[in-house]
Amino acid sequence: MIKIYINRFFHNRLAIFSSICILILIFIAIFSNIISPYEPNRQNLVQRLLPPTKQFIMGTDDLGRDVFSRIIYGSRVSLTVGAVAVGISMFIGIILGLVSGYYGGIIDSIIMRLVDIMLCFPTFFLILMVIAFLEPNIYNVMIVIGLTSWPGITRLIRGEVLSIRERDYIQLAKISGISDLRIMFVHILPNVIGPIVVNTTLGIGSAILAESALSFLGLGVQPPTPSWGNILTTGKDYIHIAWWLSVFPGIMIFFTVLCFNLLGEGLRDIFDPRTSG
Amino acid sequence: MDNKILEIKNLTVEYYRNRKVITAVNNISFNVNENETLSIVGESGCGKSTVALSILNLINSNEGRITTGEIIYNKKYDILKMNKNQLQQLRGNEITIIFQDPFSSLNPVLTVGTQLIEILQSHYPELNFSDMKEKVINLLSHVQINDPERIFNSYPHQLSGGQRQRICIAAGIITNPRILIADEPTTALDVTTAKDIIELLSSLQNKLKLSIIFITHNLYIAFKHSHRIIVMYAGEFVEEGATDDISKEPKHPYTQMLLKVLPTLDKKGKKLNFIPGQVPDMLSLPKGCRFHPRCDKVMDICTKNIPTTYEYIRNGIKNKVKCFLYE
Repeated sequence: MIKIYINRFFHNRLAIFSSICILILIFIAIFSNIISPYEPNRQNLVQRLLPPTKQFIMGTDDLGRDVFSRIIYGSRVSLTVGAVAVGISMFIGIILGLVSGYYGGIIDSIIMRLVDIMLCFPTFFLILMVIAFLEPNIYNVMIVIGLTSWPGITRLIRGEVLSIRERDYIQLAKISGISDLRIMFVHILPNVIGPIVVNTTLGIGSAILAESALSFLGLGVQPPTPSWGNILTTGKDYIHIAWWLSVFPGIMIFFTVLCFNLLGEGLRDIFDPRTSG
Repeated sequence: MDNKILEIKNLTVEYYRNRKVITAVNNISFNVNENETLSIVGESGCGKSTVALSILNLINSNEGRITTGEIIYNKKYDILKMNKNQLQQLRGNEITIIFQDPFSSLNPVLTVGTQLIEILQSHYPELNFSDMKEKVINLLSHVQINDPERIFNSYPHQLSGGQRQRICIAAGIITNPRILIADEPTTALDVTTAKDIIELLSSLQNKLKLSIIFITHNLYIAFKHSHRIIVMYAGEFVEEGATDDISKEPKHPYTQMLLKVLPTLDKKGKKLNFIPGQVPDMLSLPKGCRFHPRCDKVMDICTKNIPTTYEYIRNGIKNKVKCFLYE
């Protein structure tokens, strides 16, 4: 089974391309301090708002900081937020989905109504509101994004579990006296790993987007810590005279989210049995 | 007869479909003796599998429930009154089941060895891994699997249907149960594999002193391999008797017709017989005897009253039939 998936992965150009790009991004994020040519927060008011040159390949911002270095450090924020937020939402979503689908009945009804309620809120405004009450920093942003994006994954996993728990091998496992917990996590969970992986990658994309939007609005990562979102905020004020301040972080957000979405699409093709032919 | 291992009394099971109640099994009673093969025969949807699931108290409570009845195991314990721990102890240790489709009975994401070891582990937590592995490999060769070492590390999709059904049987007997329920274990297999599987079951029965409840719609298999047969129709018991009696001299018109429609060699070239009509809709059952619209010996009383069960004794064995013809 796993071999088949790996084989399909290496025949899927989209998946390979996007995962290489993501690996490069992760590499950049980890080794930011080595790669970046300057301190991201080092100000030099003499060299403010310089266009891209050999010295500053993405120009400088209004305080004379090197945009390239800030973008490199910003990748840390984006990837961390993406990973942690999706980790939180997956953790909640997987557990609730498994319990809901496996036990059914009243437990299922309660969890599903909870999901319906969560889906009724315009999520982004909910996040905005909660962040407005809390202190806006990177930890709160990660937690709030994570805590608001679990309903979709819960519903998805519940649906998968509903069909799998009726299979004979689950019945047999029950008959053989294997505990519910073990059946859920050892017997059912590996069977739904496909949709989980696909949704994790897609979820990372939208979490990064949400973080950028929050930072852009000033409710996310607070300056001077660089994030793609708050570099854009600065760029907004100088868009007539310094295009590079908006364009480069914009491209990075666009490119990163695109990569994660393409990887998600690619993985969906890989895990979909109908594409096996 | 004093060696009853399982006694089923007045079992009635209801399913809920779209707010309607369907009586899938209506007031069925029978016994299973030690070391015997009992076949339950009937058309699709007549409630055979429901009986099997009821014996393990496995009816999904969201879909239906057992309304009345007792299932007495080993003359002492009522399975339907057991609590969760006792049930857990019973399922797997005392009574196990093999399902009809070997392709969906094994988890595709775990190796055969993992799945078998897991069953062992939940029943004998004191064993260590190498002991369990040895036991499992031993068992695999017991169910006539070649190269058990390789199969141990294989995933189900790498195996053939016959191999998978053998592994299901291995999973069924791994804990030395007293009763094995085989729910159409050969339906999904081709004829030669089916024959091997059934012979394997018979040989295991002799070795392990198993009682087998064999659920099938194949009368040939039932005749050839069981000691006693129960015939079901539309959720009800129709006839019960020793295999010889039923195969040679069936009493109930339904059983007689079933025998007539079996294709045999001397019917070569002739048109096959069939039973007119179809299985009744469980939501609008006919009044009186449930078989009367299709019966060739239908009488006035059949359309009004529900027949009771008549017993007769032949060769010291109590046979039963549910038909007004024998009043």
